Amino acid sequence: MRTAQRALIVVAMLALSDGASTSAQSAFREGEPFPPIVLPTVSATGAGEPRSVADFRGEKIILHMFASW
Amino acid sequence: MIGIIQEQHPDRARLFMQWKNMDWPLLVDSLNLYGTKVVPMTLLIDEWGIVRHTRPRPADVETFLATRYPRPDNLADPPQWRDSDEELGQDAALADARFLGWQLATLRGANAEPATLSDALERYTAVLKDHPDDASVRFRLGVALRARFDSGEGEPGDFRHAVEQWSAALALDPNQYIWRRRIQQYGPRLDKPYPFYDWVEEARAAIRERGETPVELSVEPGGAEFAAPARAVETAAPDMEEPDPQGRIERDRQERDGGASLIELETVVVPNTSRPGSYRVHLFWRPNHARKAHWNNEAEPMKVWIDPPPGWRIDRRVQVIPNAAAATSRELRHVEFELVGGDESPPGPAKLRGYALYNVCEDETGVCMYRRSDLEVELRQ
Repeated sequence: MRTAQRALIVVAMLALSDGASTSAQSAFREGEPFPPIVLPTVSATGAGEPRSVADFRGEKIILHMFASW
Repeated sequence: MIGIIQEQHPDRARLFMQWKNMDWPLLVDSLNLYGTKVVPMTLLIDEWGIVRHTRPRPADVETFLATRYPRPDNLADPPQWRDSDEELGQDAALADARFLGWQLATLRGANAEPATLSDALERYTAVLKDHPDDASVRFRLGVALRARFDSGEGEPGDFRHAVEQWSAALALDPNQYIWRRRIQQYGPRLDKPYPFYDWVEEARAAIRERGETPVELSVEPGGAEFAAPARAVETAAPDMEEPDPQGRIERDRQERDGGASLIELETVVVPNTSRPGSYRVHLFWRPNHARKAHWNNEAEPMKVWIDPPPGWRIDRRVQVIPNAAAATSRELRHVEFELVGGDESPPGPAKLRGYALYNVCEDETGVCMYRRSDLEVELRQ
């Protein structure tokens, strides 16, 4: 995916996120490690290897926690 | 970019990815191990795994991408995928590992061992014996029960017990939005129906238009999962007459010792999470394996008739379940409907009654017959 496309997606997601977390406290604190839980991954074609966020160490991550609904 | 999706049915996540052409990694958190209480949420995590922004604005993203963050002093080793139990001990973490292992095998289309999932269920249950107020473990037990129900290797009561565990979890932590939505996606459609999976049809159409085949869903979204008017199981007109008002059709029951019927019924009642007196009732009929029962699809389709309790409103009294394509089949058959108690209905538990009429055969070359099975469901108010 091109950088410009990714940037647009990030901006759109930020717009969606903004209204959702107003009243609920975020369980994740700035300056703290994001808990690296190993979970199954999926793709359109099937299931991938189990991964945690820690597998991407060395890269900056824009993490989107969501539901399809 | 990485996604973490809160979803009971991971193949729906795959369909969503296919639709949106998502090529970034998506982790499935069916158990809500992250304890997420709100979605959607975006976090910016640096190259050492440290959260830098919890509610980033576009300008924060720019700063984040341009900043080189210092390595923390106490950087932990990345966790490993755990298949063995030596390190985890006898607690919920082992149950989690069992469930996730089973889930991954299922997603890969490999032979997921039912015993693995049952082991997870037993371990969650054991934890709850000592810690009955562990709401998160209750939620996870519900997720695993529903997963076993969907697997086709479920035990009677799995779906009902899942709803009971989710309801107990929500009672312990009513602010858990994800848990609340998990119940609501199987519950009454609420005064303002929520479009949980209305996107599925749109996604399928868009994917087909691209010349691709949509990912198949093992469990189709049900009545409460669409905000649009309920998808009709019935092909009969809504004002169809009661099919057997005098009860003349022979009942499906065994006269010999045991008393098992050819078709076994399971009922699940899902309450409205915000308003008492409103329910979605799920009825499941399963051919009795021991009696080698199967549906006869070469005769008229199955009909279900429901009598709501006095003073209650129901969204559909009669439903028709179409025959499967093959001459005989053994699939689980399911109808669901909603009821609301009225002002005139008497207080206390209410009972709805009804029956199903179906064509069933015993043994592969056995006797085929038309039978009625009566049902009674209690709605606790």
